[in-house]
Amino acid sequence: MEFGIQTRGDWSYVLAAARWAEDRGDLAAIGLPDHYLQRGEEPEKPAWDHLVHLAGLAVETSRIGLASIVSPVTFRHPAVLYKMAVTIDEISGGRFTLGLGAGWLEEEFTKFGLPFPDLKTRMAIYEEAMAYLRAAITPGARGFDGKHFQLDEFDPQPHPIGLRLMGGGVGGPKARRITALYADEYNLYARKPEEYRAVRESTRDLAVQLGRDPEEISWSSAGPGTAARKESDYRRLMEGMAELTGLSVDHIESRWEERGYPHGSGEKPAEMIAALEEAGCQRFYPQMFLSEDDPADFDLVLDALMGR
Amino acid sequence: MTEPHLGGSYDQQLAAARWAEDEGLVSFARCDHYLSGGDPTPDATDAFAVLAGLARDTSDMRLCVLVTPITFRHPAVIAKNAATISQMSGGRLDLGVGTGWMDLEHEALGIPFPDWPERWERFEEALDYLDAAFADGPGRFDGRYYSLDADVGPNPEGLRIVIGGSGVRKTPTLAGKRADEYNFFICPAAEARSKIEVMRHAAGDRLVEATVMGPALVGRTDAEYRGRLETRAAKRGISPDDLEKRYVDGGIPVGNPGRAAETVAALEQAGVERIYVQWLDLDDLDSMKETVTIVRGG
Repeated sequence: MEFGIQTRGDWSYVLAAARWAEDRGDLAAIGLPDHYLQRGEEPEKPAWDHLVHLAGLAVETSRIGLASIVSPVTFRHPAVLYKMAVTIDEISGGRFTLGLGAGWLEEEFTKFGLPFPDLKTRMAIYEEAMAYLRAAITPGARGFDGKHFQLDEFDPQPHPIGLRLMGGGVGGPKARRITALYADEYNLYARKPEEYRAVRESTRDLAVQLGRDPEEISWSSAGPGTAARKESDYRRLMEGMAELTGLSVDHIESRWEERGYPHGSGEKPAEMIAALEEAGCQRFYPQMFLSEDDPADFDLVLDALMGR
Repeated sequence: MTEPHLGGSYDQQLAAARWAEDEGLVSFARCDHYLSGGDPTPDATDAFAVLAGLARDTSDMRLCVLVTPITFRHPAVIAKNAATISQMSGGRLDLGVGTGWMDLEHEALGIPFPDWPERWERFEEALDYLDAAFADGPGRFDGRYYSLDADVGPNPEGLRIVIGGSGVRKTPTLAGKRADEYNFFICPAAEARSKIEVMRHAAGDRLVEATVMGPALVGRTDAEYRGRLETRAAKRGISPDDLEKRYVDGGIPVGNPGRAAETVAALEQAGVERIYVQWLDLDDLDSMKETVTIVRGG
C-alpha cells in the first residue's frame, strides 16, 4: 500500500504539512479537499482555495505528488479547472492529480450563492465535466458537446505533462460509470474491504464493457487519520476527534468500526489497511485536519497505518 | 504587463517577474485570458494559478491580474482565489476585475458570455459580492445573479481592487467609487486627463491610484528604434510611418529615450501615477528589459 495524506488549513499550515510529507520520504502525495466553509466546531474560520494552495505547493515542493481530493464540480466551469490543472501540472513538472466529485456540503453552496442542483443533476454535471476535461487534456482536437458544457473541436494547449484525473463519489452506479470512462484514479472513501472490492470489481467490469483497459485506473481511499501504535497516543487523538466533532469517543469508534474505517492502536490499523489493500486499494490518504496537529502526530498515525 | 495567453510558460513568466523585481519595478501584471483571438495554439496558463506560484517565487513586488473577467469564475471563486494568493504573498495581490470582452475564448471553451448589459450588471454585482466577502464580520449580499450570506473570512490584508476598462464615463465613475486603482489603456495625455477627472470626481475623498497599461516602441538610438519600427510594421503589413502615426495618435511612447520620456512626462502631468508596460513576446526578454528600462527613464 502506498500512503499519502489529506489535510487542509491556512497557507502556513498546508506548507508545513507538505514540507513534512516530502521530507518524510515515504509518502506518495499530499491531497487537499476543496471546501469554502470549514466544518466542525469553528465554521467561522476562514477556508481557502485549494487549487491556489496546490499551485503554491507546486513551487514549494519538488518530488511529492499533489492532489485535489476532490473538488465539487459546480464550483468552477471545467474550462477553469482545465486551465488551473494544466498550470499546476506545468509548475510541478507533472505531479498533479485533479479530483472531481458532485459536492455534498449544501451549506457552502447556499451561503456563497454557488449552484447546488439536485444530486441527479450534479452527477450529470460531474459526468460532463469529466468528459470535457478528458477531451481538453488529451492531445488532438477532440471537442465535447454536452448539455451543460461544450468544448469546440480544437487542440487546447498546453498539453499536460503528467496530469491525472481522479473520480470521487460513494461508489454508486453513476460514479462507477464516470470512473470507468474518464478517471485515472478512483478515490473511494474508506469502507469495509468486501464493499471496496465489490465497487472496484464492478467498475473494472464496466470499464471492460466500455472498451477501456481497467488497469489504467488506480484505486485509492481516504479516511480519518486516527491511529497510533501506543494506546495512550491513540486515545489522545480520539479525544481530539471527539472535541472536533462534538461526539463521544465511543460513538465515533462504533461508527468507524461499523463502516470499516482504519483506526485503532497496536497492530489493528495496519491490519485494517492490509485488508483494504487485499480488496484492491493501492493508496490510502489518512485525513488529518486538526489545526493543532503537529507533524509528530502525523508520524504517529502513518507509522501505525504502515505497521511500523 | 504580460499577455501569456499569446504564449509563455510559467518559467518564462517567472523569469520576467524576477527581472522586474530585481530592477525594483512596482508590479508584475498579467492578463486573464485562455485563448488569443481565434488561435488556440499558445500555451495559455491560468492567471490565478500562475500568480499563486509567483506569490512564492517572488518576495517584494506586487502581483496583479489585469483584469479577470467575471464571466470565467463565480465571485465566490474569485474571492477565495484572491484571498488565498493574498495570504500566500504577504498581501501583495492586486485584483483587477472587468466585464470580459473576448467572445471567442468563451465560445471555444463553452463559457457562457451574456450580452454587454448583463455582463456590466454582473460586474457591478460581483464587486458588491467581493466587498461583502472581504468585509470584517458577516458578509451579506443579495443580487439578481449572485448572493452571499456567510459569516466566514478570510478578510485579506493588503488586497487592492483594480477596475479597468477603456470607457470614458461608466468605468472611471465606477472605479472612483469602488476601486483602489483605476487602470485604462494608454491614450493621449488629454484623454487620460479627462478620464482621471471623471474618476476623481466620483472618488471624492477616496484614495484611488490612476494607472495606464499599454505598449511602447522605443530604442536606445533613433536607428535602433527605426529598426524595431520597421520590423513591427512589416509584421503587421503596414508602412513604418503609418504604424508610428498610429502609435503617436494613441499616446504610446515611441522613439529614442528622450522622445519616449516626453510622452511619459505628459501622462504623468495628466495625473497618471503608474505605467504598466505591456510586453507580448516572452521569448524575447532582452527587448522587454530594454523597453521597460527606457520607458522608466533609465
